[in-house]
Amino acid sequence: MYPIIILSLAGILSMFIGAYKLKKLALPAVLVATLAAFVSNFLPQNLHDAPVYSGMLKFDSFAVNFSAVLMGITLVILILSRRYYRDNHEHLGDIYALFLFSVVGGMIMVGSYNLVMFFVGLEILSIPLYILATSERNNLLSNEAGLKYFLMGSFITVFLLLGMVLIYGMSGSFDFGAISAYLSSTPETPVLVKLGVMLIMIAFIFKISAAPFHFWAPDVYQGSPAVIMVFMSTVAKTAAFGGFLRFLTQAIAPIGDSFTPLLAVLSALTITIGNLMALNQNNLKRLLAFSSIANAGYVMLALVGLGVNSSSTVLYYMLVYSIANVITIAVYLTVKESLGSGSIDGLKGLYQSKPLLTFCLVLAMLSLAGIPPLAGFIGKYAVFVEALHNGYAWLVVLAALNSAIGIFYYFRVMRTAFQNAEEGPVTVPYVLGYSTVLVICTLVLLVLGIFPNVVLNGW
Amino acid sequence: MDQAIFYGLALIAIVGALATIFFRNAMYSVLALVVTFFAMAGLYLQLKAEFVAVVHIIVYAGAIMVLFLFVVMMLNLNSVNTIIRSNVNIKWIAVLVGVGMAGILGYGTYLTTLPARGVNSTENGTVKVLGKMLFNEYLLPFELTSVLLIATMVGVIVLTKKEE
Repeated sequence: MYPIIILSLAGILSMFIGAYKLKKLALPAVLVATLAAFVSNFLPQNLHDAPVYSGMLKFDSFAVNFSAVLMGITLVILILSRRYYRDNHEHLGDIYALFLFSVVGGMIMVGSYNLVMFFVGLEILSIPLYILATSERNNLLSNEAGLKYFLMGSFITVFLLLGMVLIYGMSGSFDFGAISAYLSSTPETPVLVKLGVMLIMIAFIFKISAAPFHFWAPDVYQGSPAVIMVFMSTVAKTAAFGGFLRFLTQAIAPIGDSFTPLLAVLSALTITIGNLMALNQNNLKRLLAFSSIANAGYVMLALVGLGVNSSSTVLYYMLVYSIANVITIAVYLTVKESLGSGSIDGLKGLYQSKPLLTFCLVLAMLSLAGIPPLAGFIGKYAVFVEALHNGYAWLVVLAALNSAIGIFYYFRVMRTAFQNAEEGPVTVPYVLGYSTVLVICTLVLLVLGIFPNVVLNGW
Repeated sequence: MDQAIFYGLALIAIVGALATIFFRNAMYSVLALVVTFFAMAGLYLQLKAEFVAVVHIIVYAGAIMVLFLFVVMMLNLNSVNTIIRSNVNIKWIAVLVGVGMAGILGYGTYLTTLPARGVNSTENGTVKVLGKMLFNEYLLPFELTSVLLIATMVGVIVLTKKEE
């Protein structure tokens, strides 16, 4: 609960900083606030195993750990944004405020113990994202991204609400505990409740951009400003996974098994579509969008085999994936700053001029592809084991085959970085803002690969 | 009597909704939507949710419809003659999906034995009960909605303010 309060207040403070034209102060203030929220998250007083506030919020170890990851990634992205918004963006204070509010929404989602809270959290998470996606107002692509995301997102909200209402109508309560008690006391689950769960699942599948509701992702990711794009594909997705996992394990646990086959099919579809579509992309952001669709499918494997370790597996996978994503975007921004090109070919000759930068990129790509010593491999291995627990061998085989396809396009990015540029070595200067992020993220990625038990099985 | 009123209002609501879709003139569509909203407010009244009914009329039939009318007049959308979609098939797929969805939901409702109607006390749905709920049980979501509203307001300013 503390981090929610701190970040909400920090958002308002950031708006005041913007109003008084103290733009230099905006980022330090926001960073300090996020750091404070991050620390306060681990205070013993923050941890409640029982629902608090009339059963609205349950900040147990699940919520605390997910919140920590959400805030940790946000911290890194905020550092990244220092350089990105160097041209003195007019609404800097407001943009940081929207970032913080979005994280607040994510934390409400992962901590919710009531469908009303879940809904409020999802909206607080999404609405700032619609605005942030459009925040580059002079860029037509950014406008398209924002509008598309907004229209589809608000349409999907209708499904979520209808699902909630159906469940409420039958069980008579929004409370997760009460819904779960109702479901275990009725011998045969009413069809309407199942329909309600399906509708909520549609909203979830949209939010994590899994098939068949993935069509918005490539356009929105490509059009949005790079910093926002990485925020959407990491923080927002982690929050959506956390929230849905919460709903799955706390509210509808008694009937959760009947949705496993559906999740398995959707997961298979998502992995295949994401990987196949990624093969032919030239724009790095678009490639990352399809890779993010594919990765969402891998994480769904952990939901298919819902067990004791599922939460930590999902968290570990999302953390590793997010860090690799942030590294890729940091390299992309460094290169783009001097070359101005967003295509993969723009990476040509990177190795000749900047071996260290290439090293970071290679590490991120290898991790995304799931090559053994790295964290990405352990994450994939963990989700495969989860799915095998539930006897979905065909799904694991399919996912493993798809991992092989994934290697193709991840290695293509790497190979381009090692190729010689036609017009001789390009000079890409190191940029302090991006390099800081690169150093932090690379270290975290390596540590997570060597000591995965810090997150996995840790709670 | 109760049932007769319900079916009457439901019929008006459905006809209004269909008219909203089928009118070519955007102005008529908006007015048909107002009819639907009033019928819905009647249904809320029947459920003894007076506060919701009143708010529904004030907010939807009042504020939002005026906004709609403004937009229609401002953009001069009096008649929609141009075919926006180049792909006609999408329309039929949309109809198919919509009908399918309605069919599934209807069939689901038909199969389910709905829970018995709750106690119909005079207190239900009044402002008093609602206020007590809002400031006791649902205080936290109520407070957090303020974050949502502030984010929305900031968003409008970020998106529309002229750059200096």
